[in-house]
Amino acid sequence: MEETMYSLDPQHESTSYAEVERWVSLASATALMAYGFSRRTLPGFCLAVAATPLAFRGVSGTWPRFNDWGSDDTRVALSGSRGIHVRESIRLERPVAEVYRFWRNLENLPRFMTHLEGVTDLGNRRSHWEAKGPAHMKVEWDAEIINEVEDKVLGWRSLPGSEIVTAGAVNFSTVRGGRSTQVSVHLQYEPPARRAGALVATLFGRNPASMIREDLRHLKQLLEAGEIPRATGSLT
Amino acid sequence: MKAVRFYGTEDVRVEHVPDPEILNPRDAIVKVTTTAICGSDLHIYGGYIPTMEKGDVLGHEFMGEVVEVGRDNHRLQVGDRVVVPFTIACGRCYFCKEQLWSLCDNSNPNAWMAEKLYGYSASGLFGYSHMYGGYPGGQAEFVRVPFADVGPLKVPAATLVNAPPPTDLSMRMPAPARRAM
Repeated sequence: MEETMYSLDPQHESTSYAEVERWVSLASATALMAYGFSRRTLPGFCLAVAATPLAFRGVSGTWPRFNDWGSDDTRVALSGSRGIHVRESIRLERPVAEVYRFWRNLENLPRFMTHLEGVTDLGNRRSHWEAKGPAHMKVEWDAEIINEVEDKVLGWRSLPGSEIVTAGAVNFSTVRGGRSTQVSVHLQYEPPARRAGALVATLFGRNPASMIREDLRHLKQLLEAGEIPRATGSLT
Repeated sequence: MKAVRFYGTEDVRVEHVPDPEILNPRDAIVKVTTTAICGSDLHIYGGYIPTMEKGDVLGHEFMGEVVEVGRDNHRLQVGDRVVVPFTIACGRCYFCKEQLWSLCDNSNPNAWMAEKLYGYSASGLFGYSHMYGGYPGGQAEFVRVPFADVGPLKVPAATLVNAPPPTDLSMRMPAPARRAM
């Protein structure tokens, strides 16, 4: 049953070739670099250095491009399939209006998103965000709301000049005849140092999807139960 | 306070630990007057329950007297005598509204662990591994009871709670059975 589902998944099939290509790139780059450095000569050193773009391709899946490298425009950095995508949702026993109102007050978000240190509403749909990045580095960015339909959807993007390029949307919908609310998050971001950065971030902490899933669980706990449960003094 | 702590397979010790404190608004602190060892404590004692950690306080069948309540707990008062259920329930999620307390969506802070192992999580539990919340249990002098405005059952003042149990088992049998002995 599960196998059938996987083989029908087009994304899964299309990535397998790219995966092989990446591993081959990485393996060749490693071999070239090992050979180059082991020569302990200038040409050998040059050969090793020349293999770095191949290693980059192995890790990130794309050749390094310096023209839009580090572009902080969400339309450049996140267009098409670029960036890291996270999709998570949860269902709450609260009316949709209440859930939407709570989320729309962006300064509430750090109450249930544990990696956020603070959000300041700057007015005029703009806000300033501070978060804990990998290895406890502080990351800051400004964002603006680009789509807002009351009780339905909230979309945002980071503004140029930010340390992180991110965009996303939260959809709110009524379920069970209006007794419950479904909250669906689609988050997209280009981490500093791109995919390699995301890989490193996953190594040093929890992956973004499980982080968002836990945050949504905290939202549900806060709005349904009025508090986030804990067994010890600190929230982990 | 004194508490029963798990240290490993067939290694359980009575030790001094810090007294519990109110951590959340709906909490209560209960001074334990009677506690039990359950058959399922033997699963822990035998080393069969994953995500137990050294120093975890055991016990999930206990009763006692309320000695402190959180600011949002409007159901219990200091001095109330209560029996505390094993399962911790928020009282407001879908399952709690259906009175399926043991399936509470909100009382297990480590639900992701149980989901990884079983696919779904159940409610938080007292003294029964970190997968079910890592809540310190009731084989102790005091217990912090989360969502204490939902689970604990108040014992009417007239009920004699601390009478010594009959030592002769035949005393608990119905009269015809006693005569047969």
